[in-house]
Amino acid sequence: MRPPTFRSPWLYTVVGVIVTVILLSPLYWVLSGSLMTQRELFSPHFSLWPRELVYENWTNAVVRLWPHLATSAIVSVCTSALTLLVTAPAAYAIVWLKVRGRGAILSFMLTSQMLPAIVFVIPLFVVFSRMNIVNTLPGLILGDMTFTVPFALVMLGAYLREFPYQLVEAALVDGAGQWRAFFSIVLPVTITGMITVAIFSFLMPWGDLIFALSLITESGLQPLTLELYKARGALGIDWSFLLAGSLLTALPAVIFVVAASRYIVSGFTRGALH
Amino acid sequence: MKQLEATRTRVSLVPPVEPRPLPHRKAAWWRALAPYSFILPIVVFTLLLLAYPMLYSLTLSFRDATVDTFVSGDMPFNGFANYQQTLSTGTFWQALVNTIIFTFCSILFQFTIGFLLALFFQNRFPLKNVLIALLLVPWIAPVLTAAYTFKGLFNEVGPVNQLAHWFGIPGLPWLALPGFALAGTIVANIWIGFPFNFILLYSGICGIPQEIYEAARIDGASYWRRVSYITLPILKPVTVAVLMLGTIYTVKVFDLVWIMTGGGPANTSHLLSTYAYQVGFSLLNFGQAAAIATVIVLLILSLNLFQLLLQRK
Amino acid sequence: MRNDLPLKHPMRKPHTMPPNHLLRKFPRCWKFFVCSSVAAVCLTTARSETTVEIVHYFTVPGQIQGLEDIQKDFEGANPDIKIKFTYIPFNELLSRTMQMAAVHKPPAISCIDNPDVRHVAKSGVLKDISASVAKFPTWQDTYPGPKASVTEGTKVYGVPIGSNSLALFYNKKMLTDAGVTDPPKTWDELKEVAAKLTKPPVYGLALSAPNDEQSTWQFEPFLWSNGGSLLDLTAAPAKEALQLWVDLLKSGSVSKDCVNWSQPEEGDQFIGGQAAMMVMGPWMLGQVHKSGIDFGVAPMPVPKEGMKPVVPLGGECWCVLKGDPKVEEASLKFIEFVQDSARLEKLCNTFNYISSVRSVAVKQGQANPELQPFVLQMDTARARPEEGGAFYTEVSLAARTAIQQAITGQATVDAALASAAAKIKTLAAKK
Repeated sequence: MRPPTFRSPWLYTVVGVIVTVILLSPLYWVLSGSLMTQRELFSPHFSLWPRELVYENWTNAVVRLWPHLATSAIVSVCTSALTLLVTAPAAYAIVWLKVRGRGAILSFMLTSQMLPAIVFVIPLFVVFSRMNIVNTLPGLILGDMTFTVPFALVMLGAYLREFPYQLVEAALVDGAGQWRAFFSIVLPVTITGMITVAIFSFLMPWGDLIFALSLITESGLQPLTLELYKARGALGIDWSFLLAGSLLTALPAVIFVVAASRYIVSGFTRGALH
Repeated sequence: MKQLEATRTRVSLVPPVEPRPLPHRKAAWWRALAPYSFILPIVVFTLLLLAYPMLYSLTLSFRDATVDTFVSGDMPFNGFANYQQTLSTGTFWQALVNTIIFTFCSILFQFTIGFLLALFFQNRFPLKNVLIALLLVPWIAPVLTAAYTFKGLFNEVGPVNQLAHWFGIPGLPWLALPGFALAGTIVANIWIGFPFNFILLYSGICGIPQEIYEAARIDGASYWRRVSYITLPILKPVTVAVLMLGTIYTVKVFDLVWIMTGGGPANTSHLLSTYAYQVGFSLLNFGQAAAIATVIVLLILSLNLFQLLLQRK
Repeated sequence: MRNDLPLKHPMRKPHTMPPNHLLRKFPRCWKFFVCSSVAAVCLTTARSETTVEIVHYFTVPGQIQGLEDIQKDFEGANPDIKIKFTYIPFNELLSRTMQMAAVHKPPAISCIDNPDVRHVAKSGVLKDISASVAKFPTWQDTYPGPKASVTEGTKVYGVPIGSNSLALFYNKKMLTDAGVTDPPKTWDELKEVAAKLTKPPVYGLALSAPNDEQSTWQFEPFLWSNGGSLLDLTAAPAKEALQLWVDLLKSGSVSKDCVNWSQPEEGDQFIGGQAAMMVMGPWMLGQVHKSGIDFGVAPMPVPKEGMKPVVPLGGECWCVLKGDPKVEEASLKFIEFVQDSARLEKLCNTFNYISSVRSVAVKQGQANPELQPFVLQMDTARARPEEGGAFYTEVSLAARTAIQQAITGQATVDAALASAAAKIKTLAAKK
């Protein structure tokens, strides 16, 4: 981190808060709407704050969403962990170990991402049906990995380019194996990038709707996003559930990011000491 | 007594540690192969889960796959018929142009806002982590909510028009006018996408050692000079990656536009993705939808081609 | 006990443990055999129970309750059949049903929206149930409209759950405040009353004209009551109907945002008090009641006094998919169970549908005056695929493009309808 140019760091905080408030202003509508009745939401009188606070929207939303929290959490955490597990070594090998076929892997990964999810999902459904993993959490995790792994590969590849390879070369000369070097040298230095990618690999399945929609029909196994989607029924939009539920769905993810972002800061300091 | 036996057991169960390195021939062979063990899991993953859907989609685009044929599995090949039909529909070309405009404007603003924020947050100040997490909310919040939120904001009697009245500008039915509908979706997309750019660029800038900046500052370089001569060049791989991924994700945006305008009014705000959905899921012509998807892939490939070349260097 | 080598010889343990260890455990596996045979017996008995999976997109709590009640009653009367309801979002139901059929794991019953039934039947996934249906006492009594939507020649591909259509909802208080005593009955009255009730930011009338089927659906009562047809859009009746819509929007009586509203969003406008009247169906009755608005329902306004409103038919159908014969049989049993008059009335009331069976519908209308306008319209109600058959979806697409172009001012009524008619002609040629 840079030591602040201005005398008081609080000046930055003020500017930061103002910028945040401006950028997040549309969320105000969500917040105030979540505390209104449906009727007031659409009344012709534009009011800045609900006439009476309807807390039932929130309590109902919590009750409805709570059972699905575990599913979302498990899927997101597992997807993130597995993605890192599979992709970190591969990204390192592609960038620094110059394995043959790295161009093909990278191009293939990228091209796979260019297919719209809706078209991607049909053959995936067919494959998973035959493997009998439709309507299972491992199936959904694998499905989510089809978009987190390419993302992770590209981003980790970019972050790894900043890595000083001489450190590994020195270790190799001393007799360490490739994997040893990877675990004891590469990982600690690039931890910032790894954590960032891990965070996004967590957030992407957390907010995913299309894959969950196609691969899970068991109501008990549905993640939060799917339950929220039910607010958009064929015969009416359940605004009270949608608005309160949206904020509730975002909340655990925000907490996770706050916790994980502390790592980024501390991770950087560790790396900078080299 | 027991402890001694236990130690002996432990010692005998563990294979003896090899004090000397392996014979030269074996080591070289093993060392040459080791890097490939790094990529083994990802190659398996790619072949099983990514290759099949891509091939399936490609072959589907050359088949007549509609309601009648899809279920029975017949789906006879019909050559380029799907592509011909797609390219001869006016809506397709409108969607193509819309997609290019949508992508370009979205990325431009998302990246700029994200980059400026990434620079700003390099400073150490109280509540920094909380603000960062809060600024992620537009990206974390379900797209469903963002879409309805902006739809409500752009309503003819909604907040945006109310604000405009304050300033004396006449309100417009934003989402009901052909050109403006697309603009409305672009604004919503910028709002959703800037956190993605922000955090990834922020992490990238974090990794640049402070000493370089110190040296430059001692030499008398101003802030923006430091940014353009140090930050931007070192950040190039990350920038390229973020722009590339951003382009891909933006071209694929679907839920947002579908909910806000449904591609309307009169098909004027269709993106390729929403058009593909309409063809595939409303008209149940999966073959043509796959053809449109292939066109999307080709479009992104051409948009990204020079970026790929940059990264190879 | 034979397993434990004496600790005096620790070296031997690693070499002898793994293979013999398992083999020595074998005799103790009799417990395993007993358990597995019991499990096998349990599984076989379980397999004699048939599961009927029904996929649907109903989300309103009242509807879910209605489904659960039926499920309980049916399972009580038929202990060897289990019903499983699976929710699939509205937009995905058709494609998901087809995907499931394509991988040979079809649901037993799919609740398909009636205009799609004949289209899906073309794929061959639906079972022809004409033989079984002929035995239902309620089948003879079914209105001609719903019957037509599931019949292809002599084959029958589904049984309507219930029907709905469109009528005019109006806010009684707003009408009396403006000095209007009765809801409008003709098009001219509609224009007049809507203008009177428009006091910004409140609009006189709300419509739903988004870029999907709902546009055509809302337009059809106007088109058909005027004697027009989707297959002949350049004729005068069609032009007059579209002109009505254009006039309503131009005069400001209808919000220009209607091109982005789905029917639920249109309903929100009425419930919030931003629209004095709306063209809506009976499914919204529950929500409107909940909001506490003093409202009434009137039949659709007609072009000239004395004409009868012709409305499109909505409502889903129980469609049996081809599959395991035992499951098919159980599905038919379920459908027959639901078709019992008393149960049908209860189900349709919970769903806020009009029953497709005349005797039941008449009873509903008598019990509930708000449903009466819908019941009266059932006699002349028309199934949508009558115009275009299996191509209805594409015909509808062409029509709604014209509608949106005209009401947003992108094209004149004549030009918009002409291009739509041209598209429909090429479709007819393909048939």
